[in-house]
Amino acid sequence: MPTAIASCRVFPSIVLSVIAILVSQEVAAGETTPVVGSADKMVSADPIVVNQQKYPVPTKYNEVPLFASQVASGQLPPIEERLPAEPFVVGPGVLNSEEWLDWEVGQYGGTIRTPNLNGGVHELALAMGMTILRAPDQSTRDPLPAIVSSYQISADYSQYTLTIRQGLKWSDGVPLTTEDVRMTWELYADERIYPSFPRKVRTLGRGDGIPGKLTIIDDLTFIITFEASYGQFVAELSSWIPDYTLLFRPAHFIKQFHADYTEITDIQPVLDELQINSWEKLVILKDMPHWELYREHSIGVPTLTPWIAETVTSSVIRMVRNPYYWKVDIAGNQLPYVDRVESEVSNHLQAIMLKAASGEYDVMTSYAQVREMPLYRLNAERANIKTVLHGSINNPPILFLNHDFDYQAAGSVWQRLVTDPRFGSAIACAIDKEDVNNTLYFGLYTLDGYTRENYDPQTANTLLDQIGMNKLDPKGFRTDPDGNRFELRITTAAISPDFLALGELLKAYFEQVGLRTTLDVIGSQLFGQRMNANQLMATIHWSDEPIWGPGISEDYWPSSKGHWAPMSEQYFATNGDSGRHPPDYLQKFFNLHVARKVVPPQSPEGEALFADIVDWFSRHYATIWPVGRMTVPTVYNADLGNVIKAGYPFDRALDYGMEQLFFRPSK
Amino acid sequence: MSTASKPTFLTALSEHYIRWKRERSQRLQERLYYASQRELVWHAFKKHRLALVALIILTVLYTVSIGADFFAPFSPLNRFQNFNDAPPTRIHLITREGKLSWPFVYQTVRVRNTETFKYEYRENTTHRHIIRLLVKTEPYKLLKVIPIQHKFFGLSDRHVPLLLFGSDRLGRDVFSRILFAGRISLFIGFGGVMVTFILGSILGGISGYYGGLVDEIIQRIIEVLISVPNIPIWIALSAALPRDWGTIKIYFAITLILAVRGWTGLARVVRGRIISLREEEFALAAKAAGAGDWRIIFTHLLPAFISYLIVHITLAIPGMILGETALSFLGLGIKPPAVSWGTLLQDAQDITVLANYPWLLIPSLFVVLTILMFNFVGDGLRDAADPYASR
Amino acid sequence: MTALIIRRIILIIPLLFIISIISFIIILLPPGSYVETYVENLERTGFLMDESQIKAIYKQYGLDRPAVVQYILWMSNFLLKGEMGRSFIYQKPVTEVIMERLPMSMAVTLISLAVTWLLAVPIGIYSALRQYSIGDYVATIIGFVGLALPNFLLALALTYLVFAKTGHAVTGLFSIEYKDAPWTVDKLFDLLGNIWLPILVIASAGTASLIRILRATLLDEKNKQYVTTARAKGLPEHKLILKYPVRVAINPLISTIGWTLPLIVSGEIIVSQTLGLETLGPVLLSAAMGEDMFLVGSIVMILSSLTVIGTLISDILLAWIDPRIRFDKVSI
Repeated sequence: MPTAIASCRVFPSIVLSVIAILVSQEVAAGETTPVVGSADKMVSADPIVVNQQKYPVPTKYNEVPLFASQVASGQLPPIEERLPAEPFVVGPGVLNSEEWLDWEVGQYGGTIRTPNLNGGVHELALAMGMTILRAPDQSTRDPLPAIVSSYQISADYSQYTLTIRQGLKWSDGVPLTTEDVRMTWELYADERIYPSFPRKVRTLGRGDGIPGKLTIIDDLTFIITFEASYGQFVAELSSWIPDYTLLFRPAHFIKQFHADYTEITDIQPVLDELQINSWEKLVILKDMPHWELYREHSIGVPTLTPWIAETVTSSVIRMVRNPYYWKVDIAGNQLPYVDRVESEVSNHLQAIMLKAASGEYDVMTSYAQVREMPLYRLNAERANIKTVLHGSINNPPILFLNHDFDYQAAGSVWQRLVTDPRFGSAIACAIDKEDVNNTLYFGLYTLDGYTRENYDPQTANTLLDQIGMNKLDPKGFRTDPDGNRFELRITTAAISPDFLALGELLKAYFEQVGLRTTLDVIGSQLFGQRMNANQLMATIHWSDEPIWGPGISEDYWPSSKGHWAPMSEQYFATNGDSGRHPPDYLQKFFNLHVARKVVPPQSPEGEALFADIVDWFSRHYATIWPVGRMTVPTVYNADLGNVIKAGYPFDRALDYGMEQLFFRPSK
Repeated sequence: MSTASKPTFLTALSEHYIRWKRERSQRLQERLYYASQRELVWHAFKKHRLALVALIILTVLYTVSIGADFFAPFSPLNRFQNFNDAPPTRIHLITREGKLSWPFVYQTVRVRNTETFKYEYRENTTHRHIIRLLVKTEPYKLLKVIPIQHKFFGLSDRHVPLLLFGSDRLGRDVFSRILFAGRISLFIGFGGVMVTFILGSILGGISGYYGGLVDEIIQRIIEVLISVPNIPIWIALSAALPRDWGTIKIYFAITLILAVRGWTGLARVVRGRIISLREEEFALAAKAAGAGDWRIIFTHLLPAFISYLIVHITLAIPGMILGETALSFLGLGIKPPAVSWGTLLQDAQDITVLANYPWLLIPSLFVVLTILMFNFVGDGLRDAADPYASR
Repeated sequence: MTALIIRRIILIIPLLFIISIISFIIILLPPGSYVETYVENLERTGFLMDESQIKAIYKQYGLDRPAVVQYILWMSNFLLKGEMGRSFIYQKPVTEVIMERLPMSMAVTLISLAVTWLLAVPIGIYSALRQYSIGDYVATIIGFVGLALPNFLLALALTYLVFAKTGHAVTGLFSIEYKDAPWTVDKLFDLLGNIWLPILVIASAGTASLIRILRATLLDEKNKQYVTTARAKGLPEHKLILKYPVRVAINPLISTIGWTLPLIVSGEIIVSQTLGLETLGPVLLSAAMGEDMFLVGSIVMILSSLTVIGTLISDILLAWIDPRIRFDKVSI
């Protein structure tokens, strides 16, 4: 039976006052850097300590059949020696909450085949996602220690003490130690390799924050100290986005290519072979983030992932299980259950879908859409596949209104409109959410989202009349409040097929309430550039809203997927050196954002602050939601076990957790 | 001819007919003898039945596309809410009572089938909607000039969907969209071909007439252009198109992109012909008479094989139309909400459509038809182009 | 004529130089760079890169230097060391990527070409001999439809039909287990089960135009003086046709030999893309879209050079086979 997590959930009051200061701050956060959470204030509250697992460590381990002969011949040590002293134990409720997965003990063997479009980041990148702490599903709440065996967080969230799991080894058998962390810090600080210290390991995750200070206690224990409270770091440690490579790089491996550790004459042959002209570039190449761990140049790189790359060509990626992987199940089997993962690189989405429908893939999570359901349903029997419908970490495309567009023009019409909530509300009212849902998504998406308005063209008309757009031009469209021609320009790129369809629907809705609307579809590179240059009035793009709450994604950020305030963001990022001095209401957003990072995102304070951010979005119409959350299918081999239940609020369960999938013996 | 022993009414008739035919052909012969070249070509062309039929079909296609406002029952962007991905509306001739009627349709109702994840459309047979010719609508301006308030055909109730070729993902009438799309697709060829024609004949002409260094340079340019593969050029050029260009500008830019290499083939041919022609007597005579170089090229040399150029152009247009669909396939072509056959086919090129909504492929039939017809016309023209030869 | 050939060969050098510049312009024309595309793709999937990581990648790829410098470096490595640089997408030397794909590209193209000829030559001759017969009409119509149908649609439709009937998706050339496996009989059968469809599609368009060219040329030749003379001398019709006009009509085929080299890649790009074939075409396409500059540059460079050389070869061949054709007129 699960043992209780030994954590202390007393919320330090000191942090609350810090948040209060940050939120009420009326100036750009950068101008007066508040000194918060210094050590002397940290007195009353207790630190958070977690040093136990959910399940006891099994007493006996079952050798992996794939390695049996190698173990017998002495090429590999037996399983007991390959595993850490206390491996991470997976059972019900560990990788996915029990609500969404009836977890079972699996069995060894088999190959999972997946598709891959253009060699991009898809299933495999998530399957390779190994977080330092792990909470079930897509949460960062009360994570279990994973790569580390225990963690301690100071009451003000400024100091993180981590102890590496004893005996945990890289995929080449070399133990993971604090030297690997030290090396990582060294690389971060080395301008020849990293032009600047990464943001996520700086205080409050800010580009100008002071880098976290690393203190090595012994071979396994180290402390990272930030100059102020940085509760968001809990989420960074539990998120598959920065992943374990945030703190751990294989020092023994990288040193071979590093001129400070190895004679350049010894590095030269490698440089020649790879056609690379400097050792710095070689180090950058070999020091890779986890989402590159299935690419050609990752072969031979020590990892902490369930599978390691074996062969990689431009048409197939083959991975084989990591003999030193550090997770076991409650019955003593080493994870992953499945021996091999193979990914077929294809250049055409339609070819991928057809193959999925013919049962040539065992897991397809990120390409299928509701629209293809008839295809998978119809062929399910013949192809021995099943589909499960669930939520997504993405949300459907939303309309972003750029609050910085045209800000420099004196008396800019757009600025007057976009800062008037009635304009945003009118636009929101013009959208027939139900029609969007039924037309594009078979009525399976939700209708909530951050836009509270429902379809109400009459109100839209009234609001537009109220803000002075009550005159019509010769073509019958509303003029701007000054009586000049008005045009709402929506720009998008054909990144997903529903962007265009939605764009066309929005154009039709807006024109119904008299707003002249143009839809520009441009290439995705160009789209990114125009957004960066603040040239787009309104854009359509999706975002990762469902994982904003847990702090895994932050793409509500004004210059992330849809740029809704890129110049104010620039001002924030450069501490006022360039960009636009944000007006008060935008400054409020930045304040909320900074304040939120003080505490862990899923602490009560963190959640309250996130609710404020949601409220901010609802009231300022930076994002307008045509529908709420998505429903998408995963197509999988009917023989697979440990598959998520229908209705799971996220997707990515079969890849981020691929290690627990197993093949049932087919009947 | 009349060798029959018993002259009957029938034989008399046939005799009369044969005589009439002979005389007619004599008259024609005489006319031909005095005919201008244009008449000769037309005469030869008319004999090519397939080409004639093709020309008629093309004329119809161009007419309905130009007059799409009138011929298409709906505007290309008109949505029938709750009728997305609807199959072609069934047209009935027999009423429920078993009586023959004018063609009519029933209103359909969308039903959501959560088993198959498809919408199904059921007919509501309580009320018949009869399809009428010249049905009355809101007043509009045909070709933006002629005020008119009728459509070629339709239902008197404008809110009942009459979807001859079904509807697309947003519930828009595919038939109407095809007609409007023809406005872009049928004419995109012309833009590109004009560029091909002008560049090809001028540069080819100069190259062939002057020879020497000019020739050398032009020939090398051509060689470079045809050596570089098409697709990277398309990608590079379409990515470089300015953002603030409207659909029309982009459309012309795309024709130019299609023509970037198209002219080289023509230029090579023109050059070859000029080289052989410039040595012929009439050119030498013109030169001796003191005519300028340009004058010789354009008034003497080019007309000498203008018919060849026309054939070349006719046969080049299908390539342009196909090129437009290929660009759309690659996501580089004209972008919605503008409609072209390429964008319509872009919607159709997925497995889901093939499996569930095959009517979205109907635009491809129009592409095929048009290309076939152009080829037939081109063949006919080629045969007719040289009316004095072998006849 | 030898002098002319030598002159043409010398002229190739500046030509290749210009082509290399054009290749590079093609690479640089689209806005942005590979790193932007890469970062954007990551972001779309949820991965957010740190600015410092992004800068490191720019440095790694040498994209932090001006375009001219990049070009000079690339060209000089190409000329001096025969190196074409590294592919950003595949993270390995460009030569390796090309060599992985080239053999299958060549196989698909050459087989398609052979099929095209095997179909087109007899049908073309038949059509010309039996002008306006039913067979001629059928051949003409099938040929025209092959010409008129957009390739990608034909490919997609055929694939779907096969799938609907058999449940087998004929996409790609190999099933996943054989993709990088050494050649065995099983692998060959796997290939045969998949390759027929792309070949059919690629050949359809080529066959159509070839039939028409052959038929037209043959019809022209058939009525020429020398044929009439031979006919008057009592030579049987089929011998007559095979002896003279067919030989002449074969000329267009020979001129396609030169073009075959570049066709190995560019001819089948769209079909390969639709069917997800493991050939060079899709690599070129995704490299061009993803701004994998050295990969695009190298492929464009290689293809263009092949075209230039191929054209030269076919010109020489033509002049050699058919002395009536004067070399300088055929020369481009």
